Amino acid sequence: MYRNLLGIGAVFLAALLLIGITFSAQKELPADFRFVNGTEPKSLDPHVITGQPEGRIVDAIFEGLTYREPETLKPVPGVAASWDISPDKKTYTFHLRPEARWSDGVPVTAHDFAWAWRRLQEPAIGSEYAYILHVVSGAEIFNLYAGHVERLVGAAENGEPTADSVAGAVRALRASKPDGIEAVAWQKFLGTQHVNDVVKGSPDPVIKAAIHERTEVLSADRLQKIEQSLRAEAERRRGLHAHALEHFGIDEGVYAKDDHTLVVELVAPTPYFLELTAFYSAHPVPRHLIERLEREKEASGADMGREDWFLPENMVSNGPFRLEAWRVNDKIRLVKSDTYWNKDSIKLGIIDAFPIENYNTAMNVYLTGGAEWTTTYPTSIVDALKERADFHRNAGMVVYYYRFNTTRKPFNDRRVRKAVAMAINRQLIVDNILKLGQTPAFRLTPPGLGDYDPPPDGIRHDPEGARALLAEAGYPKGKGVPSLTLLFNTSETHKTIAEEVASQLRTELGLDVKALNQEWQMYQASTLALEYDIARAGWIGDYLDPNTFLDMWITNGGNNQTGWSNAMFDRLIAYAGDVETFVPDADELLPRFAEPDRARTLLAALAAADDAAARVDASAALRLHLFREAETILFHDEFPVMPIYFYVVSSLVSEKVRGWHPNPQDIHPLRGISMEGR
Amino acid sequence: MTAPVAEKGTSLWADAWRRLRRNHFAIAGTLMLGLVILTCFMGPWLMELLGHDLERTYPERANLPPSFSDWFGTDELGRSYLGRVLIGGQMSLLIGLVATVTSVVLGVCYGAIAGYYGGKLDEVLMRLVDFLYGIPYMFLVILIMLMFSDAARDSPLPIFFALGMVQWLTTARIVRGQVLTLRHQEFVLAARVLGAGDMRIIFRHILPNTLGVVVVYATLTVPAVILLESFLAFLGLGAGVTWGLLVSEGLSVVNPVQSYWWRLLFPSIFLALTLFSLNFMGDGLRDALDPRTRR
Repeated sequence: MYRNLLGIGAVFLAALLLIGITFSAQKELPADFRFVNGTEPKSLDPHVITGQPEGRIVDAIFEGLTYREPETLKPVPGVAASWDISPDKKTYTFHLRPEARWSDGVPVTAHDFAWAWRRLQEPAIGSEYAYILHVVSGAEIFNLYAGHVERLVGAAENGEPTADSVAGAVRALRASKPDGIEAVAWQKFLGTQHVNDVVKGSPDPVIKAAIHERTEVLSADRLQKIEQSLRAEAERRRGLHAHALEHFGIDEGVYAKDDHTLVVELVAPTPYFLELTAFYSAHPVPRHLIERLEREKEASGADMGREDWFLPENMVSNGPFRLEAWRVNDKIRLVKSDTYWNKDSIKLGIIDAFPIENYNTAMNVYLTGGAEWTTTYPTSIVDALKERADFHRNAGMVVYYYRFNTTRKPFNDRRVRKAVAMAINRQLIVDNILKLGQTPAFRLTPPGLGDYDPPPDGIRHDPEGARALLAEAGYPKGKGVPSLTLLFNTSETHKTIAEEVASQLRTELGLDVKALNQEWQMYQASTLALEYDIARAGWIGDYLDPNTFLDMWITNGGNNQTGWSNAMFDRLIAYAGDVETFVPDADELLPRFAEPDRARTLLAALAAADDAAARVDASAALRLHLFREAETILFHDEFPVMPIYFYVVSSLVSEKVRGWHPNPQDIHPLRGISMEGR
Repeated sequence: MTAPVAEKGTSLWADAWRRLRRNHFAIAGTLMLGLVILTCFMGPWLMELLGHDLERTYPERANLPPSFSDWFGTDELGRSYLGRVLIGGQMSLLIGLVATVTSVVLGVCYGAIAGYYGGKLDEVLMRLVDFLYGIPYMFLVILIMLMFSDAARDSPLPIFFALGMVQWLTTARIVRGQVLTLRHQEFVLAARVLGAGDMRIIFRHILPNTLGVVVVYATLTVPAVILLESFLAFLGLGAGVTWGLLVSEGLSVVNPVQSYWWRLLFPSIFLALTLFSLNFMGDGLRDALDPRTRR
């Protein structure tokens, strides 16, 4: 009996010992710094990613020509040790550090950058951020014009437009409407065919006039001329694209003069260009690795995706850290790179990033000392958090707003949109629901966008005035307004705000509004297809310039999604892209400006500027004024969207962490962080 | 097995009622359920009568603990949480009831037809039930919920339908089993001899004899459905404001730093009370209607 027990006990002990040995062998080194990254990155390819969780990792393992100095976020020399800017501010020459290395020891050269920037614009990569480097000459042509040609005349080789192309549709329209077509129907046709995007920048006066035609009937003859012009435009774009294929990234736009000299040519002076060179879309990618993997893939015939190069077993990067491990739903581990040119400035040895989505879990991990930084926590506890010394918050460069569907009753009437915008008590929302000191917003551009001076608020909280305006639009006390839905994507905060806004509109204006939740994918599809009445949205500024908040509202802009269109607004945004084109048209437009005197002063300053540098400064000031006029159109009368508040970004950061600086863009480069006492 | 006529001249139902009365848990459960239903449907009406606008938000009074003016405290938008819990109760109880009725009607008809006709038809019908049993019910519910367009998803109709669709299978099996034993009994033969048609025999003669079992099963289905809906609410697939949704939201505001405990406690109490009551009631009914447990 006892012998038996003894035997069992011995076996048991042996098993325990074995388990112990197995697990102790697997034990990893503890990380120096751990943070909650919110979610699992979709990818770590700098040209594919769009989100913050991806950006935090990619910015740590790659380095662009410049990087953001952790405290000020101003671009400082990264791979590029220095740069020269031409007097017209359109050509940048970067001098790369010879000592910059990939993590496998291969030198980082100017060729890598030229190749990477061309790769970003490859239509096959499908980068959603390709547009951010469209300021580089030839980039937009290389990126989009093949698609434009196909949209304009179809894929056919013989030159005859196919039926599903724009030119083919215009031809069919002419055949079905021999007496011509009304301007309203024509504009609707332009919208459903998505014409504006594919002829943007066309020099053809026939096309320009057709796009802006809002009054006259278009005769069959004119439609024929338009079709010919569209075909000519397709040919022009085909030629430009063929040229870009041969030259963009090779000897034009962006190219390597020698191994360590990179030349970038811009379409127009771009004040924020150096900031873009620190942005992750402009990071280099290891060409030698990607091409080798592609060759191997071809040779073996194995089914290996394009994404495979950034998995830990392959990944080669050039930043201060390298990717050590990526275990899905567990963590991403980064370790300090030995090959980084400035490795002595890096304090952290090992970093762990946790993809925790649940807010409660994130906070519990933080509170129990499992992580030193979390950006997510349950929103219900902000009152308690505000008391804590490790809680950091500051105004963010993010705006929260609602879109109106301007193609549907009742929001096709701008007075209704303005009335709704006036009825919302934003102060009540920020004080009682958000509680972090957010600012009520009556425009889209948050404070602190460089030298931009936003227009004064066009409205204030005024339920009385809102009711009057609604009555003026023919809906006294909300009578006659169909029942409306207020669409939001899944989130506790969005839901609370949506229910509050719905309740306010019911109480103040007598509107029957219902908050409706949709998953992110479905919500995006609904807003894109204009299947909503009011829809929640937010916009994070990608760079410190009003352009990032305003250029999306142009007619049929990809992120417009309201159906709103305003010719004057479109022109102002186009002029702001290249101020020189505004000067000849100024006399025609000034009478329609809200502040013509201010514009005249700036024009005079531009005319008086005698050297190139002064001219650049004067045109930059005029450019900002054009944005101010554009934003005045948006938020004094038109209100295609209704801003609610400017975000406050917040984090819980352990008091042992050094080098973590609050900033409006909510970017906290890992390279700057160190731990107390280590 | 069943005794349509008892010797003492009391009917099955009178007999059952006598036994049920002696079961204190069942009686207490029934009374409690009645109280919950009454509160949920009368409460909001009374509150509106007293001048509370239950839908209007008062953000400046958000997340207040229970007090004299707000017995259950307030939610994140300052709405009376008592009102929220009662309105949620209406929807939860309605879902329980409607989904159960759907499943019972469907299951009884299906099972009766399969059991009565037997043979090939029975084989086919019951294999279909087996097949549907094989599909994970959660998968089926989510699929049905997603089939409806978004506009309809805010209404409770899809969830009534979806829950009814997964609950009728067991009813169908039970009823089929009952019908199989009943269809060869003398009273069925007598009815047939008197010239009654198939439908008349099924619905007038056989089904009333299965009623006891069906009632018991239905009583136990209601809490199952309410619980299933709560589970769906946790997955974000619920229908409007229900106890499940309130509990799920309540859970997300309970944490080590700052907790609004009332938002978890009150809907949980109501949900638990209802589920207990229904289960005690179902158990009592089963004991009362099943002659084999006769004391």
